[in-house]
Amino acid sequence: MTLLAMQGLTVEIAGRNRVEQLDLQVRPGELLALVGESGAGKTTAALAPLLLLAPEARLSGRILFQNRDIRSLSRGERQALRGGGIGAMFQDALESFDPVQRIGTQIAGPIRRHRRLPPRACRREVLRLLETMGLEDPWRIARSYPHEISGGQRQRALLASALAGGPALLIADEPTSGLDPATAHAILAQLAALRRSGLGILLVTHDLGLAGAHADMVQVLYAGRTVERREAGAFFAAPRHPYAQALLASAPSIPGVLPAPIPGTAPDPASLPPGCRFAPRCAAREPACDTAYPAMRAGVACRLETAPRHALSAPARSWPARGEVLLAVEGVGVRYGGRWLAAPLRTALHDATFVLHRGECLGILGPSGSGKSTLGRAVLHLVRHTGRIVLEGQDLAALRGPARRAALRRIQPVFQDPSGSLNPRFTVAEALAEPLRLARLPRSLWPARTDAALARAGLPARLLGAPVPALSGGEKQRVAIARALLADPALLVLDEPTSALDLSSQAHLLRTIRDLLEAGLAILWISHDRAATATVAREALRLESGRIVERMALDRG
Amino acid sequence: MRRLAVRISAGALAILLLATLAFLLAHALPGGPAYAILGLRATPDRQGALDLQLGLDVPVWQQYQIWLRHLLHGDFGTSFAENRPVADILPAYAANSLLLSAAGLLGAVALALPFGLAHGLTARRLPGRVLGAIELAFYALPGFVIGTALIAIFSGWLDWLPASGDADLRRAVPSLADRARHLLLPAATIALFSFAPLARYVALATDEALASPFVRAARARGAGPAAVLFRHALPHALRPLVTMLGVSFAGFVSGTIAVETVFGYPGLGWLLWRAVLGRDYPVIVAIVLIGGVVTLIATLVADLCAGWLDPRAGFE
Repeated sequence: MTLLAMQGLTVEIAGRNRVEQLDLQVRPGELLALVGESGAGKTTAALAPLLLLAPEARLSGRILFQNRDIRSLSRGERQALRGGGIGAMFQDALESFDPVQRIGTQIAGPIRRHRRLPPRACRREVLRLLETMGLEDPWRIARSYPHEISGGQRQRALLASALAGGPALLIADEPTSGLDPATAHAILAQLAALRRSGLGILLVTHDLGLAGAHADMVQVLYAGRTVERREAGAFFAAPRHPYAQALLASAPSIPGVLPAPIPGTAPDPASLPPGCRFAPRCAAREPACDTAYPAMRAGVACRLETAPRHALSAPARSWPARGEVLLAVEGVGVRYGGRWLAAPLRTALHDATFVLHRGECLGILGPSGSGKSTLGRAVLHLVRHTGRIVLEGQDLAALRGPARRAALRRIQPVFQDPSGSLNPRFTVAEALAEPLRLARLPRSLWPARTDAALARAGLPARLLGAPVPALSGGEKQRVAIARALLADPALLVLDEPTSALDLSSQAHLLRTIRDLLEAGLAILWISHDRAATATVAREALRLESGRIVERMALDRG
Repeated sequence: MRRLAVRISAGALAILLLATLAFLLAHALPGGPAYAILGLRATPDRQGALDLQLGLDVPVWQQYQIWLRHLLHGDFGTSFAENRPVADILPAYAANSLLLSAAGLLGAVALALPFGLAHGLTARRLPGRVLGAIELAFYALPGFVIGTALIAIFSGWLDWLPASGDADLRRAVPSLADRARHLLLPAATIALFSFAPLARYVALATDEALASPFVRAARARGAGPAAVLFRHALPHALRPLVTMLGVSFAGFVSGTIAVETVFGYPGLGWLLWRAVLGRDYPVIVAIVLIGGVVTLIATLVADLCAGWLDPRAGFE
């Protein structure tokens, strides 16, 4: 028996097919991972069974839940389905909870609605659910408002709310985005027990590691269509579709080895290729690939009998030589609050001490809230701190006025969200002009500088005239890097620079970072993704609750 | 708690500054009390004598010193026009104004909530656009136009309600029902000209809440349309409503001048209008002060309510 089945599902929104001819099955107790890059149609596919797509979306094909076509259900039956038959959780847990209601109230809603428990039993059930999700203090969590608990706790509570109505199927759209890998795996492990008692799970994710570790079946989407659908173990051992191979190759896996980006970019949904959608980027393309979409054979939508194995990663590159000491951080601490009329004092960073050499990239790893970003901000002098920070032999605290500003310009930041750090009303050229204007450089020298910086950041010069919103996430992040480079820095502080990027864009960026290291730049790389960090950094500081616990080598263990 | 103390002391300072400004502005009005009182009988001699009597013969900065000292002792001075202590005159007018404002804003909320919710629910469809247009029309209409229209319809044409005053003067002690009948038209006027911006804020917040991920998540958990509207959208719509109410209440002196004048309703706005014409400095300054204090209290209460409605307000 199948729990959920989609048959030839096509969803059209504003004249564009977000998913097309999608076939999908989830059996009781099974975990199907729907993977793909952003824009592949994963979220559309996940929302369709709940009939929660935008009102202007047009569906064709069939969606069966427990062998009933959900589109034939009455209003009341649909409401019973949502939360009762199918539990769902979507990406951002902070946004998925109503900010003005307590967590417990929001988890109790589906219990009351779908299981009709009396209030006392309902309260007990809320606490039990929170406890099964591995939350240690369920009473406190239930009494809290969403903003009062940590990201990991919120994510677990959201999962509890999706399971509260006692569903047979769970749809989880990026349930662990923004969490550190340990927490993410722990949350999925929590679901294993429920799967044994028959819960089917549709997991939507772009995190291949998570899918590999927990899924029974994997289905890969590309530009709205399924390219490969196979048993998870066999898929990860030997992906067969050229796109699936390229996707796996673009995921960081071996320390020190750069993942290979997929050439080209994903097609614009407004002008999809007539044949195989991956054909324009495919190394093994044949003329026939451009004319008709290939039929699905043995779980692979590719006309090639045996697709050539895509090189799993770029050839290994040796690490650049370390130069002399560039940055020395000695006993740096940061405390927030405590000033007149502000919140009470809270120590975010204790006594951080380390050195960084020219040409070296040092990872800063640790769970959320461990003080990684605070350390980066202290080095950037964006927060008040104690202790000494010595850059190029100068104690920065001893400098004043223009000398201090000049010294601080040698340290440049790149932040997590490139859309937030670039003014959306600027063109690329205007965004890049900012550091040059601040440096009072004559205008005649600007074009040469911006061209050079764009090239170093791995972008073509033709992007200069493009408005910032027209760029992809990966391109925006490179513009942010190019802008940082224009200030002629010795040190870049990158705070989660790839967490908003697709695997392929991330692979591009990692390559750029290695190029910059070879040119003698030093980099502080703040991340919670150890695998990605290990491809650009040989060593990392591990932080826990505001302290540097160790400086560890990343190429072993 | 500490934040509350800071707000109150900052507010006290703001009120002192406001009082000073009002004092100076009143004195900057052309003409003067003596001229206003004497009218056609004004001669330089008589004006000088009256100035001496009213304490206006000394330089302004000395008057300010004296006035401030009295104020800090709780003495608002004596009305030039009525020759009675300001503290005796004001309470009756202030009570009338407060009653009118409260009734008017209550009416405004009663209109704004259903209007705003309906507008927010249908924001991108025809009903929403029609409601938006109606709100815009009332937003644009000045209070005196609405007031005059109401008088024409309900007093002139239908003859249901009195057109002016706060009570029937033929009775020594007005009944409560009589007071209420007199209150109805001016309060309705205030409600009609102030509900529109409130409704638009409610509509905006409702629309925003309905489009938010948490509403989608609530629907995914099986919440029906009623649960979505009342449990998730309404609480978010109330917060801007409360904040806006605090700001609207702040305008209760200036905002009611036109309405009280049109309806001959003896409130602070009407009194202020007369005091300005008569250059009655102590009354002008006292009314401005009351307005300031009410503003301070109203916004403070609104912020406290907003904090109670939204647990995040105390955060950060």
